[in-house]
Amino acid sequence: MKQVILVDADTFREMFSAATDWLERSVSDIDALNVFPVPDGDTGTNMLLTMRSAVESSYSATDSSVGSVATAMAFGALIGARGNSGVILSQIWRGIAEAIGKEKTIGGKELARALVQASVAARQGINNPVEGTILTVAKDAALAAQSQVENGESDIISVLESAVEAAQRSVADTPKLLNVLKEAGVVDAGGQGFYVILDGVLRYLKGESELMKVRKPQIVAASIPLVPRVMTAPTSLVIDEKPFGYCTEFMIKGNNLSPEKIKSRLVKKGESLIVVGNPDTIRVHIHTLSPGSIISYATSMGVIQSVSIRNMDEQFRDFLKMQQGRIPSLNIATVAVVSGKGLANVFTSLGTAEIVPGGQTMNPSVKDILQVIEKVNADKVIILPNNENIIPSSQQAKKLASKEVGIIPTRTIPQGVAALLAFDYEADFDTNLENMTEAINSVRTIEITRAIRSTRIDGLNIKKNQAIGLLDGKLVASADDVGGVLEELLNGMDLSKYEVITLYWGTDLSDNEVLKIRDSLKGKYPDFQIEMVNGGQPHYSLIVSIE
Amino acid sequence: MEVKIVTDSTADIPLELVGELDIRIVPLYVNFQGKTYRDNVDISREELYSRMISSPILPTTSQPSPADFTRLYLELSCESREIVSIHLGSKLSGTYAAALAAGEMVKDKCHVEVVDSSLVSGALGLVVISAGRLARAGGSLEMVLANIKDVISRVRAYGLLESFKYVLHGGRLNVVGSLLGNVLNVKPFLKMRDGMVHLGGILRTRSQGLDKIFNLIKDTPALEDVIISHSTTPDEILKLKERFGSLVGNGRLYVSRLAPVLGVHGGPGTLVVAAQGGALLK
Repeated sequence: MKQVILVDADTFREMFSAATDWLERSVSDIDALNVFPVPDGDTGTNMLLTMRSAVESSYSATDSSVGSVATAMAFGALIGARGNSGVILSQIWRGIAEAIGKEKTIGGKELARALVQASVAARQGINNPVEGTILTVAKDAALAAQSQVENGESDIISVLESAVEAAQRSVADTPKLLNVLKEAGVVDAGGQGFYVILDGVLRYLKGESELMKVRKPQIVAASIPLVPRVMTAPTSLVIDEKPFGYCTEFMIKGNNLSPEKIKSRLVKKGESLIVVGNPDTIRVHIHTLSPGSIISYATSMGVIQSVSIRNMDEQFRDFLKMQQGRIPSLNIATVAVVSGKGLANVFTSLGTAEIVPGGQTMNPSVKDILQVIEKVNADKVIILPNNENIIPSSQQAKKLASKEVGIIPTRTIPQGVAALLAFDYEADFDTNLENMTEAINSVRTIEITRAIRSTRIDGLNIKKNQAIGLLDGKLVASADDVGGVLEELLNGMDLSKYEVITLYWGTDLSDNEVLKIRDSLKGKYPDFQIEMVNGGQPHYSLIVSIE
Repeated sequence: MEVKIVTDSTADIPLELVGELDIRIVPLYVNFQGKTYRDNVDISREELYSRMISSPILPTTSQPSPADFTRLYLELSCESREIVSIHLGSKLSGTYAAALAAGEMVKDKCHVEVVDSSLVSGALGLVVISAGRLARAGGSLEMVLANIKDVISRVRAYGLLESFKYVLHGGRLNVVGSLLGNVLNVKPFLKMRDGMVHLGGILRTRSQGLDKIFNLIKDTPALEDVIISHSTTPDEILKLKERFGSLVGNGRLYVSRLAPVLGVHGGPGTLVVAAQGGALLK
């Protein structure tokens, strides 16, 4: 005989508090899934805020029964509901509270009943329920819990386990039911959020609280193959569509309010209408182009509170940004020739559209450069060759290209970075070419590599494998180790008009050597901003920018 | 009966002028870890910035509700039938829309003229201060509105941030592509144009950024008033006061603290310099 746990008021509060923390760990993942009804990337946040409000209100329960805690939490969810998913969640809470009634403790049977009632309530506030959303997931979870009880199971953990499994399968199936999800290559965000909450409750009851602090909820994988998530997907969803308008939310407090009446009055005023609540407090959520007229109508019904009007077109733009997409509106793009992952990151993080892999001893072909010029999403392209030997092939590529191409004659990585920093998004092509070319002179470059044979150049006797240092491309120093060459080079320079020393270390320098060099520089040049970047470049142990 | 001037907490007006000119301010909101704070009322700058630095979850901001505006409008309607409500640009925030909706709701009680300044921070502040002075001097509604239009066409604003982190998170900066600025320590230089915040350049050090702003202010034709708003750099502001003080001539140099709501988007170290001068070329 399995032990049957009954959940009392404190446990009920705690299990949802733990589930809320569990949800919090997943918020950004859920936000990123959000494409329906409006891809504004806030589903996870809205659900979390709604749950928080429910948990906070749980403390205002009038007695120590589960029923009164659930009622308090339902009220908290209603007043704290945010966004579409939050309002639906508040209805789920209403259903839970109604089903639990005045019970002092609950077991599997009561939980199943609460889930069923929650699923029914979730659909009531909504004008046209859509399948493949949180509504479907709530229904599937409820049905699984109910059939478990009908099979004679009364243990709350077993009932919840079947509900969580069903919710997970249901989330996986959402792209089958809702095309917009399939096209975007995601599962439904609200459904995922609901699954995470149930999963959190289950884990808490199974005694996994400690584990929950170090783990993170999983995003359910879709049950059908999805197109890999590319940026064009959400963009194409809305092409030629009307603007989203304003997400308008508020509460009306009054007497004898009728959700039905308000709903019928507002139904033609916009999309995604939800009207929920009781005769004293009604919450309204609608996507509309004219929030003013809706607010005016609402003020005639009672006192309005917690008004929020958000421009969803703005939210959608923020969402696109969140997706790290490259919006195809670049007028001028920069392309840099770089080798080494870290160095490529430096250029990309400063706005370079594409990288052509290559550098010293591995010059890219004209074709390599040309392909990138043609591929990049802009009509005008500025190339940063970053190496003396790559300037000629860039010029060849320019001649063959169908686009307008400009070449900044950068001969080193630091020159390329300086030129890129001078790029002005507001300026035209010619001004940019001029400013960027001029910026080359604002920086000095030290490159340190190893001699491949013994030789004598410019009065320097160099032994094989010795470290040799170039200042702006000219060989001027040699020593046994990299640090020694750097020291000698810096000693010989007038540094009075410079402020920043950046070191990009290459693959052949050990962490110890890097730290030693950094410490010695910091000691010697305390007034400088000294930065160390793992450039990951071959050939050069160290590339140093002085600007 | 004097025209009443209302603005929002993003105007960064020096505290003493708010009282002197009787400017009424509606706060925006800062949302942090599930709680909502009224800008500059429930959350101090110090608290905000220290939490921004230590918290892995960044705060967000939201506009005032129409009800926040109706409350103030109705209160003012006892003193004056004419209210001018000047707000930060509608491309940056829904505050203007909320004020507009509120104005509509109280139209039986008073006449509210809601202005979309297309500006923010000290630039909005300069417009509001000028309107406030004129209203105090007994200027009519028409005069005040004409003055606002004129000043809007003559202010510019520049910003300097310590990093890209917060501004990219806030999504109000108009940039495209892969720009993240998170590998090298770089300082974004921003400028305001057409109601949007644009990236005007990327600098390697703060002093380069300060020089850039100084030169732009120096080259401003017919320079009048300047407002410098800072977030967390009180020592630097003393030096800047001296440095910029030499530029303003007959105008005034104001110093103010940046609104927490703007600090959320710019991050600790944000500096905004706004200047009023000859009309901007379109």
